[in-house]
Amino acid sequence: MKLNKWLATWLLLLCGWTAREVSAEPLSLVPEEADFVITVAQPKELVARVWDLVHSEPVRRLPGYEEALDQLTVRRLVQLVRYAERELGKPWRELVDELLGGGVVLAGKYAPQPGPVLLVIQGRNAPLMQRASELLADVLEQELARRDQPHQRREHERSGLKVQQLGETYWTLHGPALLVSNRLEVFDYVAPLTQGRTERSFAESGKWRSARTTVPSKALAWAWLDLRPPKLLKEVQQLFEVPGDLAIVHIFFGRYLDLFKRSDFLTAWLTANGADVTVSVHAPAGWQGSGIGARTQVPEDGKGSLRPPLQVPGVVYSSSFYFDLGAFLKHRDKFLTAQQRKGFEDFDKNTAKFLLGTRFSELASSLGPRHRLIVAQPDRKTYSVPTGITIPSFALVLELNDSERMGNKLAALLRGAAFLATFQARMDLVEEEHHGVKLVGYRFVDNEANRAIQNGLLFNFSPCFAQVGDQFLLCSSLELGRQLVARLQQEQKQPRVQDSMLFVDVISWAGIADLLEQNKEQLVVQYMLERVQTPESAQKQADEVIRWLRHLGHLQFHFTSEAKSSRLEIHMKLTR
Amino acid sequence: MVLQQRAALDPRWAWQTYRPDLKRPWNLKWAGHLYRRAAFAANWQELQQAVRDGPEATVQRLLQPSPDQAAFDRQMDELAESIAKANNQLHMRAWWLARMLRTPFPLLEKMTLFWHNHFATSNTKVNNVGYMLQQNRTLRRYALGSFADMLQAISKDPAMMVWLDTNLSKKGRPNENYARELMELFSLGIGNYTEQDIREAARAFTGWEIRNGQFHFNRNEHDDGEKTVFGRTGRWQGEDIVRLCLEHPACPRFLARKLFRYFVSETLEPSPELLEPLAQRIRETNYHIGEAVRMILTSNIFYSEHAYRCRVKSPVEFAVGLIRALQGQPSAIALANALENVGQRLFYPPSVKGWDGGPAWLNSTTLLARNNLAQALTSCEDPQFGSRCDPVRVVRKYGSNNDEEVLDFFLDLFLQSDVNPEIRTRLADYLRQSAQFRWPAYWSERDRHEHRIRALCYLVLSQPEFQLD
Repeated sequence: MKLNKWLATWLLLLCGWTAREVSAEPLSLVPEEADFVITVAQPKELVARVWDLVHSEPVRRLPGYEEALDQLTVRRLVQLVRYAERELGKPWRELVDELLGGGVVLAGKYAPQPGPVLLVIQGRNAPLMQRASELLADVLEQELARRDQPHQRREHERSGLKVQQLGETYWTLHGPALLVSNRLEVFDYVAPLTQGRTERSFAESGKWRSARTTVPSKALAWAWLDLRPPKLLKEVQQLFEVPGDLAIVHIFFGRYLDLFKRSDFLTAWLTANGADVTVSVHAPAGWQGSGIGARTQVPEDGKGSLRPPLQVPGVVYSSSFYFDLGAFLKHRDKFLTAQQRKGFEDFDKNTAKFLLGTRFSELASSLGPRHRLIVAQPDRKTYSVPTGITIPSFALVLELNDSERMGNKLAALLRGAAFLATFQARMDLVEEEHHGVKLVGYRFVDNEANRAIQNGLLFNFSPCFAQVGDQFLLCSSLELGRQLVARLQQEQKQPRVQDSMLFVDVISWAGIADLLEQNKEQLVVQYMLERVQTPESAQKQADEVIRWLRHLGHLQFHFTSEAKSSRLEIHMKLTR
Repeated sequence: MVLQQRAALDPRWAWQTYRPDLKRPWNLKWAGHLYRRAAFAANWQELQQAVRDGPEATVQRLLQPSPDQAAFDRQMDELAESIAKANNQLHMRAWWLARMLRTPFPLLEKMTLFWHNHFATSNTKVNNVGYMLQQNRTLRRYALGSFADMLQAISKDPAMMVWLDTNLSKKGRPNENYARELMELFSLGIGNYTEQDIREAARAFTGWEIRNGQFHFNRNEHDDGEKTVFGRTGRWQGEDIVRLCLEHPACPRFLARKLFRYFVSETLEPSPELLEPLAQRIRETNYHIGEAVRMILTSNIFYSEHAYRCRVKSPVEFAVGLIRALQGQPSAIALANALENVGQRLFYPPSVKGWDGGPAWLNSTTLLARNNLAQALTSCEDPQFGSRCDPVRVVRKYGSNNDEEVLDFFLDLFLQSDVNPEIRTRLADYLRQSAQFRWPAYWSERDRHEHRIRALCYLVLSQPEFQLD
């Protein structure tokens, strides 16, 4: 029964996904009681973009493209569209425009069971919508019968509305708008709105008025979530307790919990500009008034002042982020309960035994709040030993407060750890000087024992460290280490930008492509096993996938916290 | 029932070569039976050719590698090498399934599967895909060759050495695991050795190590003293213990019993007298497995009701059989994942005894999973398998036109039409009724026809008879 309901809802949604310009009308048919609203504001543009993407040359060359289009389910969908074109007498692009021109809205209420949902499809042509809804109902009825779940169509009178029912799907027409729901009682709330009493609609509600300004008019699609109802739950309220049982969660995710606690709603939207696509998420709370639980990730003055993410040739992932472990230590009386504090103090005392007399708290307090992480695929020169799989190099660059004293302590600690590690796998010490900076590294000795470990896995690594000013570099390979030392040295001369960015992550598809290129043998294996291919054709398809990834450009994540709002932006830049 | 069968079976008759006659003619039924046991299953072309050629020529063909075999082996070995480098266990499992699905020499894969269950080694403990693939290659190399050579080779196989701790066995601290399983599970069976034999034999395997992924004999860790095994005393080394097992009179009988259970029947408990001719052949041919298999596949008992549908298909046999019959080419990776739900994970037998097999394969969960897998493969609506195993394709290829012909075709292909007439009537009823269904209006006539073919195929595959080998 659930299947019927969802099948019906999504079938109707799928078959009606487009419009010419933003219209407030569908929102005025959504009751103000909605807890979430998802709107495709410009369906026609969205469909056009998806269509272009699916038919773009790089995508067409992807392995399995032809086969995917020849799948039975895809063929049936195409047939359904052709059938609709034939029966309604218009090509599908015109149908999209006339049946969905005013936008598509999905709204609902939170509930443990699938809660009530309402789908509003706002067309421009009432007679056509009438015919289309009849056609879809017929198809749905036939489809359910084919699946051995036959249902009779029924009609209900609900607050003056004539509501049709098939299985657990209910719908009615209001002019050129089609309203579909999974609950009959939803139409009690919809009925007054269809009679012009729109003051009880979502469009006129106070909760939407306060949020609508955050969504740009050029958004192709957007969503609004009411955050107040879940916060009434006791379990959710417990999440916000500081100190509380979830201290560790607050240390790492306190920023998000704090935003959730202080925000009444979230909005998200999708925009596109040429080859750039951006998804933005907005919360109406910023660094001002942030709680103690957020202190490791949100500075008190809101100034992230991050250094830019590190960039080297072959970068796969690069991140610059604000994380102040010192703030946790400074405020640990507020973060931790008495029992947790005692546990932590015991742990801290014990760490001195392993950290050459230095306590964890001393180390952590000496760290600054701005750090960076990078994963890259540099040219390999350290070893001539072949490895079963190529693991990319990675590095962590930590900011130090008391750089001179802590740098020396960290270096001594790392030398000690390396000494102990040589008992597991033999390593040689390598020390290099780069413009006054000492890079200390370790090379695994090329012997039988080291080669035997996971098909030479060790030979992906030559761990190293260095200190450049207040930046302490820990890196998995000497090749990347050398490049980063040079970068960090250049950077020391540049002024730091004062801004409210709290993290920036950049994923380079070209870097991932490089990584796959290094491990192409495994990609070829995958295709041979999946697609029953000769090594030659699998190789060709692996090349196509790698080429396609290079075409994708970058994926960036930015999180900024202004005084009274926060925003996460996910930005995809497609290269041509 | 078992006792009655025992009494009724004349060993001389049982092992005489089967000669088709009016009472037991060579037909589709026996051709299908032969292919199920010796090759997972036959496709339509193979079935037709087998019926034309007769049993002798068909067995000969099944026992002989085809001219394409060398190229196929080369390609699969290269693939295995790449998989070992990444230590990817999912690819390893998929690789073997791909071999089974595409091999031109299915009996060899069937026998490799037999030996995988005989020398059951799990990657759970070995945790080294390279070692597991190396063992698989060893099993295949000797699968239809010399068991004597295989037993020596498997004793020095790195995966086996890790699995049964031979590599930890040192002078003064011998590990008994391998010596015990060598006698109990690999060559003699319980009751043919003593605990003292195991303790003494374990000393002979000391100093056996793995270096650079290969067997290495460390003289310094080997106990070179005298040992008494099966009443024979000497400064035995590991190889000598294997030889002593092979020379033990119980060994050919033990092997004969296992081969009988695999190829002939899981339900019939063979008497020592019935097994003796097969054991004798094994002894005479110095453990040549191919000869023993040939004897079984050409015997009267193999083509009798004592053997017919007397085994339950393992999940691998079930899936590979139906795909080979439909000449499908689904993703081996998707199949490897799906088979986990059906109860068989290649390279991961549940214990050193292997899979229990027989009725243990079937319970309400696994039976449902088998049906779901059959539907996923043949419906063409499953995103993992897509249309790569489309029954419509074989129906078109072999020219069945109307409903009756399609029904006969599937019954012949999968069950050689040896089904209860009631089942046939029920399936025919489905075809008749489905022709009257109210199909979605946007479906073409072809859609309706093809959907009914796929649904019919699934209904045939979900018959209880199809679970039997």
